Amino acid sequence: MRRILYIEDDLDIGGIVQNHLTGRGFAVDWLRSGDGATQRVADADLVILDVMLPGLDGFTVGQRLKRVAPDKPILMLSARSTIDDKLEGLQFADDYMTKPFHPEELTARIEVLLRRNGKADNQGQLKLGHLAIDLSKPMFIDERSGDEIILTGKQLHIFLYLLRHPNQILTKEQIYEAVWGEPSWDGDKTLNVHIRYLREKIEINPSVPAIIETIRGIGFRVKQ
Amino acid sequence: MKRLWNWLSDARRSLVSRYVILMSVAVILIPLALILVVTILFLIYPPYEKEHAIYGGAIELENKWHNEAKALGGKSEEAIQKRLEELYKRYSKATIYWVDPAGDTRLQLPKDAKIQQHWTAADAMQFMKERRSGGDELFTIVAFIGDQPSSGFIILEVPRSIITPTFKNTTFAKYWSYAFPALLLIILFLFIGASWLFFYRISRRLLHMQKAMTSSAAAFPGIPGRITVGKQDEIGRLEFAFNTMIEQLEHGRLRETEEEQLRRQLIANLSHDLRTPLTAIRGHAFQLNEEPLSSRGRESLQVIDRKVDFLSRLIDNLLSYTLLSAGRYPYRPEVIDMNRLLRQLCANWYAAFEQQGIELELDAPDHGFRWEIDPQWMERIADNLFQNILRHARDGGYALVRLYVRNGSGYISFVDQGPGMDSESGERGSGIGLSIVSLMAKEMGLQLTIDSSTAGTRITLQGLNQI
Repeated sequence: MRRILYIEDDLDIGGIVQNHLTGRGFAVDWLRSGDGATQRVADADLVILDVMLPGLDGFTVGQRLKRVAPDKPILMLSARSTIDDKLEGLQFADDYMTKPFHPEELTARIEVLLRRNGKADNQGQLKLGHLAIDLSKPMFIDERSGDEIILTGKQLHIFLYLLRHPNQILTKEQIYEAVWGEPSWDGDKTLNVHIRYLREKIEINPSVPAIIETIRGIGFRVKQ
Repeated sequence: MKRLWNWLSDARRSLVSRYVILMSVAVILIPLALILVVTILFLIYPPYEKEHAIYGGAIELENKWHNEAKALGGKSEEAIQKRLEELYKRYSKATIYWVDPAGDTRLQLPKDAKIQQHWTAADAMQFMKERRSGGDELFTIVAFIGDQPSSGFIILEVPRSIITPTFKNTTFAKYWSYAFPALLLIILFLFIGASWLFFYRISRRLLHMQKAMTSSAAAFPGIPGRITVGKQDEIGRLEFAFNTMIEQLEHGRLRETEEEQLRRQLIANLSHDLRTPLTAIRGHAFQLNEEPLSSRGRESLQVIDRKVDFLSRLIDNLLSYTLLSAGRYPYRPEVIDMNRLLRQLCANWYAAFEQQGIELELDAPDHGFRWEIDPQWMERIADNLFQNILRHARDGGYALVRLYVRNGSGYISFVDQGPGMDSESGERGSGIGLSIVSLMAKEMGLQLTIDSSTAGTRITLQGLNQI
């Protein structure tokens, strides 16, 4: 079971979030203030942190937690919405969400953070159309024939990057920079060429793609 | 006494009194210098010829002659003759006669002097008459020896030109005609020089002050630094007053900053305090949604959810607007590839549009353009425009973000096919979102154009491209 350390002083909101997350299969350790958070962070897979707290404020608590456990993802959940607050939070936190938030969006963001940290709930096994995917290996099986699909280095990189950000539209620049590790330049068609080859391997009909969706002018998306 | 001294020392410090002193000195200097120059010239070049100095003036000579005559009273004839010859040596330009009591001319110097040898009473009268009427050239003194008419008399005759100094011929007069104008000129120049120095120093101090006023102190931008107060005169008092004013300005600025800080804090806290219950409302609505509900109940929950969104955005905009209009919204411009930024922003919003059944399209050229702007501001602008499309132009089912370059300028258009801004939309707001867009665009030097008709709305930003 994945554990979440939740620090929130508002009882109303805290109760709802705890209920919701427990209902989604998380174990929630809810603290009313930052006191004792550093002792309990070791047991958690992720920290949800409010900013306005009695005693130490959320920014200070978050920085301390990062010092104790640098690998734990921290999601700031605050009613403070100015850019300065967000920038200050994102100096150490992995995500910053403003209240009032959608509980479903919260769970989605938690999933993203956990997956990025290798704590996905299905241990990397997932089904996508006709593909059975094991992200831990990684391995891609065409379920119709049972054959493994072999991808080249760049194709694999691109596909894994898209899979790690499901339901999220990734721009051409984002993908290029994540895979090639260098800034993209105007009018570069390299990524499009690679995606075309990738689709020829994984799509049933590459001209009507079902796995990797093209968002015209914007980027690509893998829906799960 | 003390008060008088204070008054005097105060007066001494005043520019006016100093100038009055300067003027007075100049006015007094003219007659003083006149006297001085006359004295000096008189000493160096006396106003009469030196060789005639021995004669002195007419009265002086007359007195001398009478005294001589008096001293000769009772002396022997030899003594008188000797003395007269001595006197002739002294007054070589004169003519001397000696007539004894019998009326005989005993001596005439020089020897060739033309005079009768024997004097009758009529002769004496004739002589006196001649000298008195025709005597412009000669000055004649007749004195009785020993002051006794019975002892005879002596006569001294000198040319009048010798004993009457003719001023215009003297060296003194020659120099004087130059010296007087020269002296006036010198005094004039001295006075002009002193005045110039006086005003030059005033103007230098004023210029120094002007420089100080237009400079800006490091601690408080826009407020000049203090001036070191020099002399205690009018300018000194002005400098002092200036410093007092600076102090007040700094104090005001400090208080303003504090108030601004307080206001920002207050608004941020207010925003926070409003958001917290909204979060609870949304959370409870969400929980309620997981209970078995009628379709009308679910619809109500959706409305609640939408209103929460609307309120939250309104609070956000209100906070931003307040900060923006107070010039306190952090602005961190950088050169940004607009293609890339707009693509990212469209990606962020795509899901929301998709959910509402609106097709969002991005039309960007292969080679984009770059603007020097704050990406956070641009994001806020795009967020507000996208939000407006979602709220008001859902019926159009289509939204386009188009980037293009024309005549060296970059353009970004947000186009929808909604009913236009003048139509009655389901959720009409205060328009604060668009106010923020317009304020931010203006601050970033972008030109905002809004075209709205019943066929749709096009909002265009035009900006200067960076190379």
